[in-house]
Amino acid sequence: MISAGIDIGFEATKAVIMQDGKILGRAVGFSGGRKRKENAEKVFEAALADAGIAREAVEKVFATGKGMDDAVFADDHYSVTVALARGAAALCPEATMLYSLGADETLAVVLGEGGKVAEYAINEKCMAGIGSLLKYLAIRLGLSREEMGSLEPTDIRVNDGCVVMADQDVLSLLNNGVEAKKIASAVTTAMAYRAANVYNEITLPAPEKVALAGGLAGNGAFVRELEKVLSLSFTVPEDYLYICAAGAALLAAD
Amino acid sequence: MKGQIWETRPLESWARAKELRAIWQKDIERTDIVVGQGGMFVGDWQYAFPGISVVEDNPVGANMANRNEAFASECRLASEVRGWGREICGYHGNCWGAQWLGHQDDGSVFPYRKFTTPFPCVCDSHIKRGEQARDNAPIPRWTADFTMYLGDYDQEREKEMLEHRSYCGLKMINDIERVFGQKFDDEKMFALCRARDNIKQYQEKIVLLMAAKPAPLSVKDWYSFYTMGGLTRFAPEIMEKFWKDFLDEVQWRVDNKIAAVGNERYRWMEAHPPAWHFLKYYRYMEQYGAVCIGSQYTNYGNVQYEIKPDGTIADRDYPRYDPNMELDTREDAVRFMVGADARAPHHFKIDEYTRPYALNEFAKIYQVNGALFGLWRGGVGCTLTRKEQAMRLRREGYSVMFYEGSQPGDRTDLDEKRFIQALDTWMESQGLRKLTED
Repeated sequence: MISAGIDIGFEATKAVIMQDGKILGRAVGFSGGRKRKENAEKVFEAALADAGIAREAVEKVFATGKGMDDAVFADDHYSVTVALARGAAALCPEATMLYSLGADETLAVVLGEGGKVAEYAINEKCMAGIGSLLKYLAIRLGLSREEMGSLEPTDIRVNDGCVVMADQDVLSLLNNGVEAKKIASAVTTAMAYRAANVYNEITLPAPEKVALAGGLAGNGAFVRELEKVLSLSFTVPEDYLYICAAGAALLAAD
Repeated sequence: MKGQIWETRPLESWARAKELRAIWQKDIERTDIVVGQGGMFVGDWQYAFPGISVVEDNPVGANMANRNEAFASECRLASEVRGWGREICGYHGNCWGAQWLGHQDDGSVFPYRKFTTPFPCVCDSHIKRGEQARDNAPIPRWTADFTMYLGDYDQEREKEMLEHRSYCGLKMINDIERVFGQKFDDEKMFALCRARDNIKQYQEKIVLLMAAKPAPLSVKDWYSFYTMGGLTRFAPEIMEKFWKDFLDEVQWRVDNKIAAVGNERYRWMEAHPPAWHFLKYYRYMEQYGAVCIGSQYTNYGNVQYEIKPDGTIADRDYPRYDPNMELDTREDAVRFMVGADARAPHHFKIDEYTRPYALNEFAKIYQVNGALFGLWRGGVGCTLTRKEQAMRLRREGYSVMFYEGSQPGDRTDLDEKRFIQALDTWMESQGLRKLTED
């Protein structure tokens, strides 16, 4: 059976086409503002094209993510937590925990048997928007994605209370002539502290093998800082962006 | 009903409760009586004063939030511009905002208070109860001191605390007589005490019956009843009969496995009052066959059930006045009403055992699968210890979900869509899907 999963996140939409537990095609695109439904359609079509599959060949499409309702073509939907757990069981089966670091949401899931959720924790409102902050900070500071991912540690500190407070400190530092990369590094560390709170909410952690998912998993500097804060080593699966979409596709095939 | 497992039927007591509630509403709107604010004791002690009605701002504020959120928002704004910010209890903001606007949500005149008797509280938000009424007019205020201590239970200290609270209550009654020229009817008070004790026993039995499977009542049902005879004023014989009939009905439902929610397959609990302006989340959860069987706030108001060493379920041991004590004097009646323990009425807020640990016992007694805790910024649902309680419950294998908001009477900061999505996530993580989708 060929199934598809689409994960409509706060910033990015990810889609995969799967068969027998393997990804045939994948695509990522901007989720969009007013044109979210159209963008979801475009990303889905792009995934089909990547797989070389006609739409009619897909038996079921399940949606997930904050914007799951925008996938009007989906047959059903599942929450991110459940989709992540299911996706992790297939794409990183040796993982004991999944730690998803997205534009808006940070989520930790302890993985149970057969792709079930044993325990989970999601950020509270004060911890929202970590990924978005780093993305828009990069644009404002004129730094590329690669530069953001390879930032060196810094002694400069910004408020780690929430993205709003960190952003306030950015303005002060800019006014004081602090170098852009140092500011970005300070914010990266602060956001790592915020994200760590979600991991610490878990009552029965399983740190043996923690896999990362979501856009920030591809930011080397952020991952490094998070590892320092939590004294852990993380695994970043090859398809870290698509674990949630894959989970939705697998749930469709189940 | 999709996925129906149990028989269900409407509560017969509901019609009588509505009737009584309507009578009470008319009663507090009377203009020929002295209206006060607050409540020295839980229970309608003012029944013994012929021309006095006492209205607690909490239920007024909660009702407003539930009935007319647009008006409640106007009221909160009216409170804010007078310096009562959103960190204060939303119930106060709603109720006292109406005072400053001069009318209730149906346009009727606001029943201005002539005195306040806020019941004592350790919370600095709640001890300000009624201050707004005094901002409006220079009216008298009486309140008992809030008595508590940290450390091991000390029976002698408890007795001293009870005596002190009794003194405060007695002084209040004597002062009201003098200030308002009202005569306190001690015989009526004695009748009230006896009825109150019987009502309390009926209520204790009912909340324990809610532990049955299937639950005969959900917490949403309980909200319709739990203030009757406490915060709402009636003649004691009327209230006693109401509660006895209600207990009989609930017992019958348990004996015949009549469920509050016919598709009950997941039982969950809370700790605090709910978001009164968004009670639809209970019905939303029923789409998953998930029923809320109570909270520390609703079920443990009068009683602190625990599992005894022999496996039976009974109230926690407190020093208390003998319910069969002779009531010969006003002092006897006041002591009786101050009553069961010195930390009444809300042990769960301040008792050093109940607050952080009792939810684990609650979960076992009520056979729950999970818990939903609100993280409120202020008001009666203080967030204090809730994260720790969640960790203890999770270690026992219960699933716990949080949602955030200002406080139960204030819709500000409650992101309803986010809340519903979080409920979906929670239910799906428990392996459940909406029964409408089966």
